[in-house]
Amino acid sequence: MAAQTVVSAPLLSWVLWVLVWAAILLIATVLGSRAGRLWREHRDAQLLGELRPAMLEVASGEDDDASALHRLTAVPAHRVPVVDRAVSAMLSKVRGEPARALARVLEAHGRAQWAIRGLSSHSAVHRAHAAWTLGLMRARETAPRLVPLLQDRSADVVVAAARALALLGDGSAARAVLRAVAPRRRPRGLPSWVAVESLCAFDDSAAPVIEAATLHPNSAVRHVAATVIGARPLLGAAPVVRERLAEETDPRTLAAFVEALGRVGGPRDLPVLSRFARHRDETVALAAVESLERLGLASSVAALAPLVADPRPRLAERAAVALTELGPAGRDRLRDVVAAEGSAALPANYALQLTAMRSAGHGVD
Amino acid sequence: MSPEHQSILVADDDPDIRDLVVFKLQQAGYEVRAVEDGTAALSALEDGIPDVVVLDVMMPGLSGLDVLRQIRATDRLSGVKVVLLTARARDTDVDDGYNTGADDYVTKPFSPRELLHRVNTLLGRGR
Amino acid sequence: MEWIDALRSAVAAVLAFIAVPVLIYFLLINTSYLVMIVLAAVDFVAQRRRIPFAGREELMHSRTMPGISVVAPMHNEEVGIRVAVESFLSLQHPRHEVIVVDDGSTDNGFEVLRRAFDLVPVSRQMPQDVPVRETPTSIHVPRDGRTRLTVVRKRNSGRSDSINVGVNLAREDLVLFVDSDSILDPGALLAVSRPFIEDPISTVAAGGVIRAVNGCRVKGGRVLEVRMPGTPLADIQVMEYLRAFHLGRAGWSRINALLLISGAFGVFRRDALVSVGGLDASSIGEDFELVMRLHRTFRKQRRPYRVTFLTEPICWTEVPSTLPVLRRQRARWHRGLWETLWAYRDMLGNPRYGRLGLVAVPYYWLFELVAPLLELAGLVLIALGFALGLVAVEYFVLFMLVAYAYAIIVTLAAVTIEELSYHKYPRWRDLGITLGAVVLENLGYRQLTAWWRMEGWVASLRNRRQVWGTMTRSGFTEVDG
Repeated sequence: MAAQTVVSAPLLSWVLWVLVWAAILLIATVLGSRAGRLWREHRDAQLLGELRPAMLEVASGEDDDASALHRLTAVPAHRVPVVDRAVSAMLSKVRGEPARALARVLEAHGRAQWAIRGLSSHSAVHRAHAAWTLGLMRARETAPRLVPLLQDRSADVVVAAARALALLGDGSAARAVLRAVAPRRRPRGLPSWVAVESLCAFDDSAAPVIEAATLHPNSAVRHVAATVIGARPLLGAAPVVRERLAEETDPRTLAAFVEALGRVGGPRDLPVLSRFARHRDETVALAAVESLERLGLASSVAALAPLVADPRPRLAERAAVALTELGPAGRDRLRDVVAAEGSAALPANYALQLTAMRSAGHGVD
Repeated sequence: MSPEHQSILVADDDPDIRDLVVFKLQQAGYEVRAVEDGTAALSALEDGIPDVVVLDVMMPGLSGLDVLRQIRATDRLSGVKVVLLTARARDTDVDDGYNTGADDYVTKPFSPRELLHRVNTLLGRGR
Repeated sequence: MEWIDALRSAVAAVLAFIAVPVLIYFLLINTSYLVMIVLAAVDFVAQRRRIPFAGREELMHSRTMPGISVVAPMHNEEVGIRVAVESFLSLQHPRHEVIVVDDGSTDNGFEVLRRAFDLVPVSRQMPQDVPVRETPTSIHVPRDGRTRLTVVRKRNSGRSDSINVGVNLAREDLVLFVDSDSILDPGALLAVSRPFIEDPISTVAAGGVIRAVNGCRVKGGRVLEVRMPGTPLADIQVMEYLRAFHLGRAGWSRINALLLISGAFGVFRRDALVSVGGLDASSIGEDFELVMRLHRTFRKQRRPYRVTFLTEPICWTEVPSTLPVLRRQRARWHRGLWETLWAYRDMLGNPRYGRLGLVAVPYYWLFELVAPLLELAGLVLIALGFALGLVAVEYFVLFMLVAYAYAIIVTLAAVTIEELSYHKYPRWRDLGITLGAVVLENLGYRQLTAWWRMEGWVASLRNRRQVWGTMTRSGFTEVDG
């Protein structure tokens, strides 16, 4: 019969045989990997437990006679990676003299040479690890070797290189970091936030490069530049930001510029911020309200007050809350708005209510 | 006041940082108690009143700022000095911290020596 | 017994005709799962290895972190709501608010919240950015004026409409939808914000992994220890979630063709939600529908956009522990899948949608939608052939063994990847339970769920007109409020 010969029985049993063996293999992998992992974890925890006091001593800068440093560097060769992992983790959390002391542990283990060799490894994880180690060791002289990795084909390596450069703080890498945000050959660039953190960590030699990047054709790069200007903050970049505000086409980037102006701008920027608070795109408008509040000037009150009547409820409410943050003048102004009983009375009332509840809570102390 | 009688409460969820802070402060002769989150910090404050609380801002559960707010809203704890341990000086963090009543802050990655110095200063024990 | 002979020859003819296609189909569907799992595995293992230098710590304090509004609809959940809200409020994030939308609960849920958080009513105007059916009857905030919690009360209008109300009231740039019976890991908000600060210009949505919380040790809205549920029905679902929702979707995301973001846990940029009109309150598969609408709208407007999937398991939810509940769930899912695929049938094979149109949507039609039909048809035929003596007993048994052994291998592969990457289940006995569930899934569960999925599909086809009446209304520009 036809159905019986869909697939020949011997073929089926052969397939079944293969599948059963594959299942056994998978189960063995699971069991083996779990047993191995638990054993390694136990062994590593024991070693690190023993070395913990020495590590704390070095990391807290109390190791005056270098005896603790000696204990950390004296572990047998095959245990070195375990110690180095723990030291690296600690290194990312401290700075100053303790960081230099911890770096000496890695140095004594030959990590510097290992890392420099590793930068050209075939394994992406190895390259990333190498770059990050050089950063942790604050090996400033290796910065030029890290820069090419910003164009690496592996996204992980690019991130590790940018973060390592941030730890080194050398502003000459700024251009390469910005270029990595919008690479030509790959679809995905360096994540924006990593670029921002790196550029914020660089010394002032990065400033002109960041300002120039506000003109970059790619909006992701402009967004990074705008964010960095606001976050560092780069006070000298205020004129550049003012210029860009007039030209920016991407709404989210525009919002970033508006926000940056709130951090680097001054009283003369109130009119332009007021104008942006009326912007069609709500993200931009909200950023403008935030900036008006951040400038925190007496004249901000006058700029924010009309916004409480904005037809967009989120914006009106945000403006009202901003006014309560601007001291008695702002709150008085809100009370006037409430008294006038217009459409702005509702958000104004809400903001005042919140403030009242907050100060009632404070009365306890 | 001799440092032996001055006690410090440390709250941080990162064991590396917690151990490091405890170690450094103990070396300096303070009596130190460490907890790993905001809720534990509040219950530790029920048990005794330390001179200084070192608070990590971002902890799971109650954040450092929440704990700080509680401290400032409690009469019994009015004399407690608070140092915030924040990763990176995000200006909003620092503003929030001071607005909420922090006495000082230290940014991560931090220098244990700097933290000790700030604590010493708060307790009027200059070096 | 002439009719039996007639039936026999008819079945024989059908078998001869479709046996090979059905066999190939099963081979393909399971192989596609396997491929997705392997694709995801590459990602997972790399992700584990790069943890030391990927900068998780820095992420937490990034200056670019946008604010996020957690929107949790609540309907008659007085038992767990307090702990849920407390845990949402205590998630790690520099700037997040929690919005609970009480969808006309008839229990004491609101009272519980009012007492727990000392809520007082405030007068706020709700923006009409996203159309809603029901407007709030009252809005409440905690008396301290600081805790960033908003509790909105409104008449009952369903989950989607409640979320839309939450979206309107959301103050932050991002909105997270989460069911109030879900549990989020402490770092969940930071993790979901990550794609949005990696690519702030174009990321519009991100979805996360959901795992079953049944059996886990939970305290104060946190998962303390991950455990297998220990009841067969839930154990099997854990395997299913792992294979299909975790690894499967991670695989799709890797080839940039992710279609589905799970409803229990999705993050969207608020302005993107507003521009497409929020959730469609009349849709059954509202989450799937929303993502499809995002794809369609943004492609049509030629705006750059990105939908991302997060592979770290960070959201936990209770899976159905009884058959009737499971049945309703699966029927609803399949109905939602069908109605959405049908409503967006123009995307099928449409090169304008790139890989989505050419790979993902056809895959969903061919494998997700049709799978239960073919599986049941195959079963019925082979059983019939067996009953009519067309198929020998040994052959029948061998055939079934091979078919299910392959399915078991696929799940085992998923279990192996989990063990090599996240190894969330620390107890040895859970490993035993896992292996048991892998086998059990194929003995009854698969067949039952296939049947239920068919039920959902059939139900939809039956009252198609009525469904259509509402579906056509689901345009992404304006829906009457």
